[in-house]
Amino acid sequence: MSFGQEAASPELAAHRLGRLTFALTFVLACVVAGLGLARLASGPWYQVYAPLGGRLLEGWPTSWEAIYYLVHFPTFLGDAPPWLGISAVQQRTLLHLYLASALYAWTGSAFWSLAAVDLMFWFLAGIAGYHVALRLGAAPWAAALNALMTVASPILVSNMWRHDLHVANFATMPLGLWAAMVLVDEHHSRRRLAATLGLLLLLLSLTYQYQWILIPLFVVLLTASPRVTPRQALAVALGATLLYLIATAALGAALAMVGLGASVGELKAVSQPGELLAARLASLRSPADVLAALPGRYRIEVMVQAYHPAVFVAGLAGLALLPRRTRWLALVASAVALLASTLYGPPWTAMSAYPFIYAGAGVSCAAAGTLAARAVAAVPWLSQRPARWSVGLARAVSLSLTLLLAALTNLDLVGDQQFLLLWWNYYSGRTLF
Amino acid sequence: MSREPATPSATFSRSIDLPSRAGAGAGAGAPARDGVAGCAKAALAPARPLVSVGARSPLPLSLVAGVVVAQLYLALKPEGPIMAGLGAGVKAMLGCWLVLTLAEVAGATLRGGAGGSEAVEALPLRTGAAPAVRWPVAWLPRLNALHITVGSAALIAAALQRAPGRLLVNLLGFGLVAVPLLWVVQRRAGPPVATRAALAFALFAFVPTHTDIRQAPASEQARLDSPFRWTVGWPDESWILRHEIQPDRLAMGPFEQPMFLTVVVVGDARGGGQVYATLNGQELGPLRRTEYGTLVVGVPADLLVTQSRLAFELRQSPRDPALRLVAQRWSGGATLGPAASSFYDTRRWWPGTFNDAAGRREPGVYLLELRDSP
Repeated sequence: MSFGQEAASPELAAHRLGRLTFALTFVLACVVAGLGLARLASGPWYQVYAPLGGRLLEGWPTSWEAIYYLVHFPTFLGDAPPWLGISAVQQRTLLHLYLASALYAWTGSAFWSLAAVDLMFWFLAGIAGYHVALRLGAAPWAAALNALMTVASPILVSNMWRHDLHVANFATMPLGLWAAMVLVDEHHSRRRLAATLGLLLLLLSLTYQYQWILIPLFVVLLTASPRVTPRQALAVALGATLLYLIATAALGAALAMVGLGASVGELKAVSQPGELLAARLASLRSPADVLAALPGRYRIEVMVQAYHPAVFVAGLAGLALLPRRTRWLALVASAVALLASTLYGPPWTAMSAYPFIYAGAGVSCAAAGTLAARAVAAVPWLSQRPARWSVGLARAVSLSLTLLLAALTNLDLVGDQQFLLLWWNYYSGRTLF
Repeated sequence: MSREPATPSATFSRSIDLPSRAGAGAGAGAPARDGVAGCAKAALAPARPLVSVGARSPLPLSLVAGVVVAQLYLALKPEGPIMAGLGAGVKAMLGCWLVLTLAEVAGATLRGGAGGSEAVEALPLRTGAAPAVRWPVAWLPRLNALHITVGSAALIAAALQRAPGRLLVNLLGFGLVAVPLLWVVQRRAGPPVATRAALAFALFAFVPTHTDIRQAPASEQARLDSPFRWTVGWPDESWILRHEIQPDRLAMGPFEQPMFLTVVVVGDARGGGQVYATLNGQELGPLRRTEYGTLVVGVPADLLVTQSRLAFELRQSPRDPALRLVAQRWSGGATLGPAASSFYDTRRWWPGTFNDAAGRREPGVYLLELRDSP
């Protein structure tokens, strides 16, 4: 019996797969709704960490940064000439903002419109994580466990009820990764592939900034494809990047033409990755500078602690069991995440490779369950049990481990704020109150 | 790095998120996995589908919802204009249809395997064949997702030509959401479902073009009756509001520089009220207003270095009901948790806060922070 997979006829296996998928969808929806709504009682992470940054919107909890997005509801929904341009902080979440504003027109509630976008993408992150794990080589059960851990992850829990659309933003990593894997795995024409990957990069740039993580992953995915030579892989990745840059410039020009350019009243709330990188490169004058600019022990510590050490170790262990392509993808994504965190240090940057870590953790849990079942089956007086008993035991053990790992980062629900405060401390230090 | 086949290792994988290819002729580059595809197709098309496309139209239920809402609106607001009630009914009907259709689409998409498009690297909205969807009006040409999307974009553009900026951001948002959405739906659930999804998303995007919302929703610091963040005042000049902090010396090290106590308040000092602070009985003086609307007072380092617990007490003189502190219910981040804040009502000390506007005690913490800059 291999990890997370039991011997069965194809028809029976397919039927179980369908039931698993349906059950997983239902469970993920319940978990997302539960974890999100429960924080209204136990305390949204940000408001617990930094209450001075909290606010109320329509009487419900939000954060001061919601203003960056609320201020543009009239841009999408009103006929008055815009008095504020689309700055970087808004452009990088333009599509989420569009959805939230349209929902506001329907519902009349800004609070619940923003929350609905966050919750919906939070749920989609779990679904996408499941499919990503399958494509990375995990068995369905392991992929399902990964999805559970993904939706319980601090990267998605931490920013709920801030109403800065960060939850929806962070959910686009598994969504974008899944789309990239599908496009690469199933392409028939390299030119079309470059075009669609370029469109994907544009979409990611308008739903956060994961395009910078995906570009090197394109190269890995394409190089791993038997139908593409390394030179072609590089050409496709460069072509996609070029198309993305052209489209972004065109978008900026179009916005400026209608009076929504960044120069028309700008909120300099964020630094652009390109600017940060350019500034860092300009400061490198010697090999010592280069070494100093590389991520050191502190950045690795932030990464490990942000996931929780147990989750991170489980992720690494599981990645060792997955195919080589997956390991290379995880390595490249983690390296880019570490480098990015030297430019912009919050914990969510260090967690940018989270689909891979959680895929590995899901496989680890499934493997542990299988090993436990095998160990029990080796006991003479238990070896007579039917195979279904072993499968049930394996699943029970693996699910228990998964729930335990998920619980480690959600203990704030039962009053233990230690992990929450540790996680947010990596954002701007301890708030003393 | 050797090149692995795109097909993941058989030991771990059974990728089910490919569209069904059984009998459809896979593309040249697609991995050949008929066995798995066959299993996937069987798994994802059970004998009794949990969601059926087009089997039950959401229109009747939507009509009922619209009529009910219109009736309720007119009954609850008899003095209001009839058109407003009808408008509410129409919106409710459309909203109900939208929700039910999206739920149906979502179910079909999550199930997958209903004969999605094979050409996935191109924008797969052109299917060639007419969609097998029950079309409400027989004499209208059958439309697919691409037709509906392009047509909707034209309608949105026509509706918003009065405001070019609004037109651009809405078209951009509509197009860049519609393309990936319909791509996913089509490959997972097939052209008929993609057509319904296109209709639903078009309605979702088009209805807001008739609004004219010029005022951005505003957030606020607190509300008097909020269970999350409320305001706290001094009913009497003798009242004292206390907040205690227990710094983690090991983590933070010694206090070598002066710090600043920042306090979140609402209201101004029109009544002449002034807030004064003490630290462990030592006077810190009056708090001053900052450009951010908070109150701040400096805390000398020598008052901090030897103290294991910092007890800040705030008084107001003269009493000014307009100038109030803000408190919140979640105290987990305070160094002393729910025991951090307390108040003195001239008789005794009480834990938590007192919402004097509501006239009741509220467990929570005052919003103040010790910072290294104002």
